[in-house]
Amino acid sequence: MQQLRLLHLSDLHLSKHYLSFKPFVYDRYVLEAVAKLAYFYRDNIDAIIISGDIADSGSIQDLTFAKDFIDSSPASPVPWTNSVGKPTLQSCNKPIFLMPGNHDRYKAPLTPIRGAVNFGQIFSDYWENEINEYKYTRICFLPTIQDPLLAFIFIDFSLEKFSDGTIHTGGPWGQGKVYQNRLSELIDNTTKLINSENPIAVIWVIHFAPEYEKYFPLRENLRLINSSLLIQKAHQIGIKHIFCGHVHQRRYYEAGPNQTVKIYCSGTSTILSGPPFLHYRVIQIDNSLVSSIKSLNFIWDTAKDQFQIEK
Amino acid sequence: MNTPIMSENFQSNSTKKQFTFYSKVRSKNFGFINQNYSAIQYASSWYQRPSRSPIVTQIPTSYTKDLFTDLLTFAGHWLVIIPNIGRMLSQQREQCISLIENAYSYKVTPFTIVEQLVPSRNQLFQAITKPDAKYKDFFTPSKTLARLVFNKMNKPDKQTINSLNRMYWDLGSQGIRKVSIDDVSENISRHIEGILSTIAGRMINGEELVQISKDNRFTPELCSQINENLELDPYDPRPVHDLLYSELVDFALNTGLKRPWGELFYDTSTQTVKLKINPENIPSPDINLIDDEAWIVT
Repeated sequence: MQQLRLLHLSDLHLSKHYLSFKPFVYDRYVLEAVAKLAYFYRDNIDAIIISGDIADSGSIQDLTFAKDFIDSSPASPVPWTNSVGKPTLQSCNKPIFLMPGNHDRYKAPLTPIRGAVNFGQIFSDYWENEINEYKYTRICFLPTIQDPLLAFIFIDFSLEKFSDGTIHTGGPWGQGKVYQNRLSELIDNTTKLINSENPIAVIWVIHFAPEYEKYFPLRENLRLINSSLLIQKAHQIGIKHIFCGHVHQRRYYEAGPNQTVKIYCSGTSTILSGPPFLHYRVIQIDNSLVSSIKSLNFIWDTAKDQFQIEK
Repeated sequence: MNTPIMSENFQSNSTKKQFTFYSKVRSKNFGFINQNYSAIQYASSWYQRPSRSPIVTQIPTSYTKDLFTDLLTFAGHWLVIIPNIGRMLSQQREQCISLIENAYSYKVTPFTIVEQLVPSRNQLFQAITKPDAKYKDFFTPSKTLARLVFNKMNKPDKQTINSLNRMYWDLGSQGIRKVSIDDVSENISRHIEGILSTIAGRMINGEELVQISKDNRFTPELCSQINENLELDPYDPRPVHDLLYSELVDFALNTGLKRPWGELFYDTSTQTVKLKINPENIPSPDINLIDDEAWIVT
C-alpha cells in the first residue's frame, strides 16, 4: 500500500480590489495563514489541490493577483512571503494542481464578455492555455508523470451560455452544468487511465458539488445541473472519490447507487463568514485503486487568528 | 410579531418577486438593522464586526424550508439568532426550536444561539458550542480618526463600482455596499488586530520583543502595512498615521492588548510601542503528533 498526502483548498476568491464593502471577500490575514500552514507542512505534503474559484472574477487584474499568490517566488526573512511581503504558496515548494470555478470564468469587469477565457491565459502553467476557446479538462499525475500512482482529472462544468442555466434572473452564473461533450471527454480520459496496461488510481476534481442538494440545503442558483448523470457515470466506471468546493461549506457525503461515490467538499479557504477551512488528505492506494482517504480539517480560529485542527 | 425578516417576495420562486427583494437589499446600507434584511445579512454583518455586538433579529412568522436553506448556506457556521421572545407566540417558539433541531441534525456546529428560547430546551442549547468569546479590550478608534480614514480612503471610481455591482447582481448576491463611518471604525479595529497578529505570526526566529514605533512614529514597515490594509491614498497618509499612533499609544498605556499570540504595550523607558510575542503559539502543530481521533477515514 502506498500513500499520497495533499492539502485541499477551494474558493479563495482573491481580488485585486480588496474593498471592505464587497459582500464576500477573502480575508488577507487568513490568506497569509494559508500560505504559512502550507509552509510549515511542506515536508508532510506531496501536492496542493485547489478546486476552483481562485479569483473573485475572470478579470485580468483579479486573476493576476491570484496567480501571484499561487506562483510568486518566496523571499526571506518571512519564508511564506514573496519579495513584496505578500503570501505565496510557492513557499512549500510542492506541485500545485488547480482548476477554474464559476467565478474564475465570470466576465471580466468593464467588458461585456461572459465566460472569460482569461483563466487559461494567466494560469497557462497550471491549466491548458485558452486562446479564444475553453479548455474543460486537465489531468495531473502524482507523484510524478513518469511514474504515476494517482491521476487527478479536473473537469470544468462552468456554464457556457446564460440560457444554459435554469434561473435567468438573479444568479444563473452560480450554476454549473454537466454538458454531454465534457462528460464524454471525462469518461474517455478516465477509462484510458484505469484500463491501460499499467493502470493508475483516478480521482475526479470538480468545482461544483454534485447532487449536493439531495443531502444538504442548497439554493437552485448554486446547483450543478444534471449532476445525477455525472454520479451515475462515476458509479458505472468505478470512480469512488470526487473532490469539490463551491458551496463554501466543508461536507462529506456519499452519493449514487449504494452510496458508492464519496464526495469531499472543501469549505472556502479564505472567506471569514465561511468559516475558512483547509483540508489535509492522505490518500491510500492499493492495487491501483484508492482504498481509503484520511482527512484532517483545519478550521480558522478567530480567537487565535490561526488555523486549528477541527475536532 | 413585526414584519418577517425574510419577505414573502424572497421565499417565492417567482423571478420577478426575487428581483423585488434584491432591489430592496441593494438600496440599503449594509450593517444597519433593517427589517428588509435577511438573517443571512445580519449574520454575515455580525461576523465581520470586530466587536461582535449581538444582532437582534427575529424569526419570521412562517418558518419555511427556503429560509432554513438560506441560513445554512450563507450563515451556516456562525449564525446568531436572538429572537424577540417577549413578542413571540408559542407557535413561533416551536418553529424556532424546529429550526435549531434541524440545524443540529445537519451537524452544523457550532450553531450559536445567544439567548435561550425556551427554558425546557436548555440541554439542547448547552450542547451547541458557543463561538470563542471576543475580547473586551479591542482598540476602538475615535470618530475623528474614523472620519479621517474615511476621507483618506482610496475609493474606487464609479465605473469599477458599477462593474462590480453588475457582476454580483448577475451572480445572485447583493451588490457592494456603501461604506459608513461605523464600517470604517470597525475596519480600523479589525485591521489593527490583524496587522499585530500577523507581525507576531511572522516572528519565527524566536524574537520575543518587537518594536513597532520609533521617534514617536510607527516604523515605515508598519506604515506601509496600514496604508495597504486601510486602503489609504498613498500620497497623503501621514495625518492618519499620526492620529492612529497617538490613539494607539493611549490605548497601549491605558488598556493594553492581550492575545494568545502575545501583547501590545507601551514601553515608557524607551517611549516606544512594542509587541511581546508568545512564541509557543506561533508554530503550527506537528502533523505527526496529531491525535488519531481528529482524522476522518473514508
